[in-house]
Amino acid sequence: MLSIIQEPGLTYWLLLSTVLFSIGLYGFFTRTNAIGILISVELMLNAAAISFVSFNNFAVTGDLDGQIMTMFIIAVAAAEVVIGMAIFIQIFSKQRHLNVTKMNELSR
Amino acid sequence: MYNIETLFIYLLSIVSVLSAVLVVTQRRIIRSVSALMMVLLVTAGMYVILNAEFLTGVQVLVYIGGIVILIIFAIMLTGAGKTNDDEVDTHKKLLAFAVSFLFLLCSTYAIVNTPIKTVDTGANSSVRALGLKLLDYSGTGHVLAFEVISLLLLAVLIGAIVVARKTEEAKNA
Repeated sequence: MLSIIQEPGLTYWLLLSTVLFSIGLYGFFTRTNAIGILISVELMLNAAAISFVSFNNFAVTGDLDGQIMTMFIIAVAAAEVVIGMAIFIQIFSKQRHLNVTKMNELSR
Repeated sequence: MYNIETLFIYLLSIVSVLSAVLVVTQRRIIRSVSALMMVLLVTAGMYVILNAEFLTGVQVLVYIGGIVILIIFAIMLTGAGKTNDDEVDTHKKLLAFAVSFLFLLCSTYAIVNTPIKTVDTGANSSVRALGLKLLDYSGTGHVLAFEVISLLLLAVLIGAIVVARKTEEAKNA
């Protein structure tokens, strides 16, 4: 019976990455807190990184471009979070909330 | 015949998808971050299975040790841990679900119907090979992207200090 379970291939990993990306997309649309939106974006970036690494593992002979690209994704995600948090803390100190549906002006 | 690695892959996938659902459905941001940490940790496990051992270390160090901690700090500084996220309308939730489900259907269709020739990879994914690839300037390397990333990180360092420091009116108040 257990012979049905076979080693997952490239398609399996890509489908997993797509499912994670879709969940992140749903969170991106339904969150109202700015930090929550950033967390959903992190989820989507992580899903993209999984697909890069699985392509590198299954569809490339003797090269490491996918892993390098994932390293760049992680670096850019770190940069994005740092700037995002600096902006959010500044907005919070001015407006006392982080609700994106109420943020409709840049300065007061 | 089955091997333990295959079962492990399915276990990791189930845990990652369930944690991702928790990330987007928890109304408390701090719980959502805890679930995000679980997703990232499980992804590090997937990188081991996908022969990317160095990325496992980078994932744990930079993502879990850096980004998640930074998000937790921001939550504590903005008081978002105490208050719940506002509940959105049901029709907005349905619309968001429809859009993301449509995306899932479209990309699943594309993935299943695209013939991708899988090859037996003999890639040497040691740290030495990664470093040589990163600093190779012969055309197949990524030295330009590496330099641009280092410039980006410098700009972020300066930008974060400039944005987050106290403004003049805040000092006077």
